[in-house]
Amino acid sequence: MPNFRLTDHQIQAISAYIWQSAFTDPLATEKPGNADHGKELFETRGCLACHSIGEGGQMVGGTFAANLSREGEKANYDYLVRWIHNARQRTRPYCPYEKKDIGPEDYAKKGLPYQFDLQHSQCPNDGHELQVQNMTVMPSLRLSVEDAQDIATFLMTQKKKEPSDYANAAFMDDPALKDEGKKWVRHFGCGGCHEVSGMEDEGRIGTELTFEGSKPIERLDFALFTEVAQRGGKSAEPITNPEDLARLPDGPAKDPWYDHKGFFEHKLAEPDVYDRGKNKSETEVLRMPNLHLNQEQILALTTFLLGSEESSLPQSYQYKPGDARHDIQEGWWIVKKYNCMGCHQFVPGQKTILMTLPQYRDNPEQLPPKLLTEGARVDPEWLRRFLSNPSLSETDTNRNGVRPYLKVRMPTFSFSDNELRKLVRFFQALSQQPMPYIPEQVPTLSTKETEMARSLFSSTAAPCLKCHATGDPNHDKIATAPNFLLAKERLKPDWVERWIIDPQAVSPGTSMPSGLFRKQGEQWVFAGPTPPSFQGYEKDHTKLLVDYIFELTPEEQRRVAAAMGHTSASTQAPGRSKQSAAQTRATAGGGSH
Amino acid sequence: MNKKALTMLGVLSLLALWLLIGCSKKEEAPAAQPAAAPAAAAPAATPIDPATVASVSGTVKLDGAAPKAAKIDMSQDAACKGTNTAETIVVAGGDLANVFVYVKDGLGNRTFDVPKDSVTLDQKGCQYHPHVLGVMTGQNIEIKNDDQTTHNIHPTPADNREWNESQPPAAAPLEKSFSREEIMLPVKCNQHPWMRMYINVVKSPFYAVTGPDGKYQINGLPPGDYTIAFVQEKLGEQTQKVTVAAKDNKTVDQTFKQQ
Repeated sequence: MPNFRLTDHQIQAISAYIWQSAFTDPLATEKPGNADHGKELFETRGCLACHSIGEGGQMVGGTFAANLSREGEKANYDYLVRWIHNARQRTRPYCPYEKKDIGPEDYAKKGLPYQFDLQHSQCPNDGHELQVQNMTVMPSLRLSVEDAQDIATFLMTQKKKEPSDYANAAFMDDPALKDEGKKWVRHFGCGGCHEVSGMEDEGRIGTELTFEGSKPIERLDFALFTEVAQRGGKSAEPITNPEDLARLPDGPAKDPWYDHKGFFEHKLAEPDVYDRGKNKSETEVLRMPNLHLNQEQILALTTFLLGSEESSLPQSYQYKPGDARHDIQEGWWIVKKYNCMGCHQFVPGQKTILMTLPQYRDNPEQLPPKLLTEGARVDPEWLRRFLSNPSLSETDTNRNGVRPYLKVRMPTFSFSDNELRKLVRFFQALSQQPMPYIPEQVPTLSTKETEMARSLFSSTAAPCLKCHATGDPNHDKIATAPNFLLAKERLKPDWVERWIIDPQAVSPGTSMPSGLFRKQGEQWVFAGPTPPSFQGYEKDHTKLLVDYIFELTPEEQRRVAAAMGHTSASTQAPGRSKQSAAQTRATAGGGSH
Repeated sequence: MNKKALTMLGVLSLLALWLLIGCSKKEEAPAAQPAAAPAAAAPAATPIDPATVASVSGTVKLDGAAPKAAKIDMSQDAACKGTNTAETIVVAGGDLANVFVYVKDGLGNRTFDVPKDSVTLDQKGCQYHPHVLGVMTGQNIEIKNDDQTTHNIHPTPADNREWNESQPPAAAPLEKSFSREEIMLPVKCNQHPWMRMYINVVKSPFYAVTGPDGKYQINGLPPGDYTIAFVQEKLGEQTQKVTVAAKDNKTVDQTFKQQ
């Protein structure tokens, strides 16, 4: 939010306008939550990948979204719970045709129930498509309402002042001030960035900059500094504020600066510099706010403006790839829009925000997965489904679909179909995958081969099911890797083979160890002991294991897990599974009330 | 002469030069081989006069009540027999074990031979032995598995290359080394999350780890002014400056405060 140099009176008027334009629809009253549990959730679910908390040297977390250190001074608890639970939930749907928010009274007129969601998105008045969700990048973490209440309760404790410590603000309710505020909101072009009801058609209030670089120098108004800019010398620099002075890429002017570059740089460093020395009324002074840009940003913007000329660059000078590089270019916009890099590593060496947090220093395996080879790893159609619903379930959504053992949550971003398509193509392109993807045919194993593969899968030298989740809640508490039953739909077989040979080469630091297979001549063989049936087998053992994993059924996995489990405890196995089933039911019941 | 011909000539003359160098190298090679063969990349060790060497020894204590060692539940793997307790702070009668003591500063540009002997890291009873290990850069570490279960050895260094290798029961020992100095480099097993130890990689041979009696000894130190560092995995680092004269047997004790 830039600085518009507003007077105190203007601030009060705009505040009154915003305050009095608010919805008066009552929000559901939320039960108070548990702040300690909320703090734990806030620190582990991934909030800090985008948000920061603490000020100055105490600050931790990302700068992508708001700092929440003083959230308790600002927010309304009921509203905050709603926002954390589902930020896209609107108070009222918006009709772009009527340019207004539609309320229960509009529905009542047509005798319709007041219900709006993606399935009920027609305006009761005119049948136009309603905007039923907030267009925000804040995702849904698929939390239970109780968890959302706990986090909100924790955030409400984040304050330096009590609301009662603030000065009286009775002006907020003054209707006359509201009308004046509306005038200022329009005057300063707030609708250029913010959605303001009733100002949808406001034009942009700034100068068109498309060909700014071609403007004759005489049309750039240096105002009272024209002469000094031409002359240069001792008093050539008009900016005196030290903070603004520090924004100038080349420092204070000494030489003449009467050119486009000098004009843009000074304007960006201190926008109202050319108002200096003039007597102007409140509505005549420059409206462009100070964006607090740094030297580097001003240099980049100035370069851009200088290049914005009528005689544009020839096509051949412009980077417009038509191949996979185009997909990468398009994908980055989405990755940046949703701050995916706050949690995931896309390129080697890139540090995510979460990696810098102290809570992950001792257990990096709790970090979100690296996406270095994602396009080569997963089936594109599966990826599209996963991105649209990372819980991979319609009913059991309060969890991660692939890695239920991670405390940090892959949220639901409500990507549009277009964004989903671009993201999938992005990952494919980033891993240099051929397009379209034609799944490899996984051969069916003979009974003998299945038995051999099973001996590898359950070998004590590579106890796969020790770390990989199986769906048994008792086991999955200590699991640190995904369930094999996902592999068939999710993974690409040739990637899996590369992975099991040397996971450390694919994702350095992963919990999965290397050295499970070794090369014997041209053949990949298992590093541990193998049963006699392997004698004379000339194909790669890695391939055998991969084919087996892609054939794995829930029954087979359960059998192997039971057999492997604890030989001495095998008689207890049925009893234990009964108990775990009962536990699952109990948990499900607990979640529903 | 046109441009093409000129380029051609250039290429030819370069080729001739390359041939010339190639030939002369070949001729020299057999003569140079015997001398070059045993030489390693490391520079020769700075000589130390054995007649002047001193020693530093002492006891490391913990001030305050000894924390109760956490019990570890190993029931998830039947092969991990017996009981196990956390080794975060091991203290008996005030004596603090598993403190890494080394000469942090004062050796200047001296270089040292890397010992040919390996140090051993053993996995037994689903526990690492020793819990704190000292090793020189480039020195071989032999990692053994004496358990009837598969372990994986996963160092998570800050300044060395990270790796993670599986070691089934009765498998051949793994041979590993670290090329850069790093203090308290954590090592873990992903299959037995309680298993944790620390390797300390230093450039000099002047280091020791305190035993259960809190005692340590560093021998063969040339006289000089040194900073001795005491590092404990949980309690952090403390240092002392000492001056060691020729043939000195200096006692340097250190006390950590319970946090």
